[in-house]
Amino acid sequence: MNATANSPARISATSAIQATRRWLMVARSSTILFYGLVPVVVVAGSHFGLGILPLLVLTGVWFMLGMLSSRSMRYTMEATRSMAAGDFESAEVSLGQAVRAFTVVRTGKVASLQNLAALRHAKREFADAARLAAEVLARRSRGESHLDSPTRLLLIDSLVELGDFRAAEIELGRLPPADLTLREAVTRTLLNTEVLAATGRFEAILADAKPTVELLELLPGSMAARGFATVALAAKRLGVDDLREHLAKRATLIADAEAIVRRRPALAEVLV
Amino acid sequence: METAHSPIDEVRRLIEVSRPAPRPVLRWLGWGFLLSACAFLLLPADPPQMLALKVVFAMASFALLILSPIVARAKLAEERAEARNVELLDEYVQLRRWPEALSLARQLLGRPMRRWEARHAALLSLATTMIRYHEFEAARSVHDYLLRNDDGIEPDAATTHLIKLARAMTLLREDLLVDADAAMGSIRNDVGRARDQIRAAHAEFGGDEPAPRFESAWLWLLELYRDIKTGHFDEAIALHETKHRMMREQLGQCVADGWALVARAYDAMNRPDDAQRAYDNATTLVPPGELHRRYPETAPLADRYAAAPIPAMLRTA
Repeated sequence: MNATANSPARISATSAIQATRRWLMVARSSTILFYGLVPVVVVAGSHFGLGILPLLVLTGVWFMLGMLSSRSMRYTMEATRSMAAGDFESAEVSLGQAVRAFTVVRTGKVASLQNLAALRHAKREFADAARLAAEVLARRSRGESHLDSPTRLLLIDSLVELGDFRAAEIELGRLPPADLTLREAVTRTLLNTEVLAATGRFEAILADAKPTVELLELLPGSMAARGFATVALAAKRLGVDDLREHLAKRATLIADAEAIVRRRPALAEVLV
Repeated sequence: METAHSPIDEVRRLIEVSRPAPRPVLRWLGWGFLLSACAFLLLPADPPQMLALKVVFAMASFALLILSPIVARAKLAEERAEARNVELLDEYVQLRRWPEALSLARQLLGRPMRRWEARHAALLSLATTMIRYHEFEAARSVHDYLLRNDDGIEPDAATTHLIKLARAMTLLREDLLVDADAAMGSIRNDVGRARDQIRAAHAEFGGDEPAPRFESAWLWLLELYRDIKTGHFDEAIALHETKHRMMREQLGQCVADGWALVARAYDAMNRPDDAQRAYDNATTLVPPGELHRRYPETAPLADRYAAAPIPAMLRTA
């Protein structure tokens, strides 16, 4: 089953957000109802001489609803595997099912939305990715704090691609470097460098040139090249010629200059 | 690298000891709950001893039901901690903090791990660390174990490709050229099969656009190194001149390795200007010492050619 841009198998960002909010409300209400019913069935069981049988029945029903709710997580895991294999269309189908699936448990529903944001980002649909990522950050609970850093980085990258550098900078401020894995830290470094360059703060880029370049080296080729070229741009604006020449050369040795400029036209100043 | 045992013995021990042991605690809790609940429902309420037993089974059912999510959460927390440590190990390898990487690998793999995927990732990091310490045979014992698939956990195609590449590189480093050739032949076959599958899929679904090219730049890097090892410098130069753009696409920073090797070839063919240009490109990306450590055949270049200058702002104080 294929999910093209307009096919019913593909869920829109708006529908995904609405479905997630709906199911999170169902999960919250169900949990409150379950815990509210516990004392009621205990008292009822005692009153009608049934002991804890009603409580066991209630718990059994809750357990079964929980098992049914696990479908959402299964679809999300399928989508993760599809995305890893580069099969974005299958991932769209699986994540559409994951987001729409019945649940009384919030675990996994927010993760499904986060995976959908990652999928749209991978497909370069940055407006959708930004909306979905922002929704994940608004809805995630304390127990889902592990989603915070990767989702916020995804949001920042989407905002940079959309040219909304002010919003990207605000989100960067909410991402303390100390709490990040290495992979997240190097991505943050690249995005921070790009935001500083876009807002003309070249001195700030060169103030940390050495550690920035060392971190950028750990990125995949095309991303590292973008980072080197951005620092080279800062060096050019501030008249540090040896640094500009060195980093521009590094960028063109590890990636195609034309491809970098197509993605970031401002870098033509140092690469062409 | 200090160890009381030989590195290969230590690696074999770590492979053995780190196998995940089955711990079906949740399954036992589930069965325990079912049996207690059934016992509670089926036992008669008379005589009083039976009633007491009924109450005990009821309480046991309830306790097991409460315990299950607690145990599940604890299991998840342990798996997350293990995943975080495996990620930390990978970070040490990426940051080239080799003593820390070796120490953490020993700690992680020195006892049964929770998940097979985490164990395989930790083993791969261990193999990379062994290569850094020039313990090539120990690294290959990890590669061979992962490729043999003894535990029924087959790596995905991309990981298998990387393992075979790393393995072939260790064979070249140790001048085991016949084995290296065989290993490279196997990689070539894998690449050819993948290319045929892509072409077949494209023929069926791809429309009028040309089929995407599929080549492995890492394989070309291996072939370049083999040509340097065997003294086929003209072939090495021809290979690099035709493949260097693809290498740039796929190798990232490691494209420096290709430039260092072709600099060696240019030098051997008495083309000093080309050798200087290639050496300059290589040392722009990677310090000369690191390149010569990876490829000892390039060490003589340091005396004949100037490394790329490092800008003042990037020099270590």
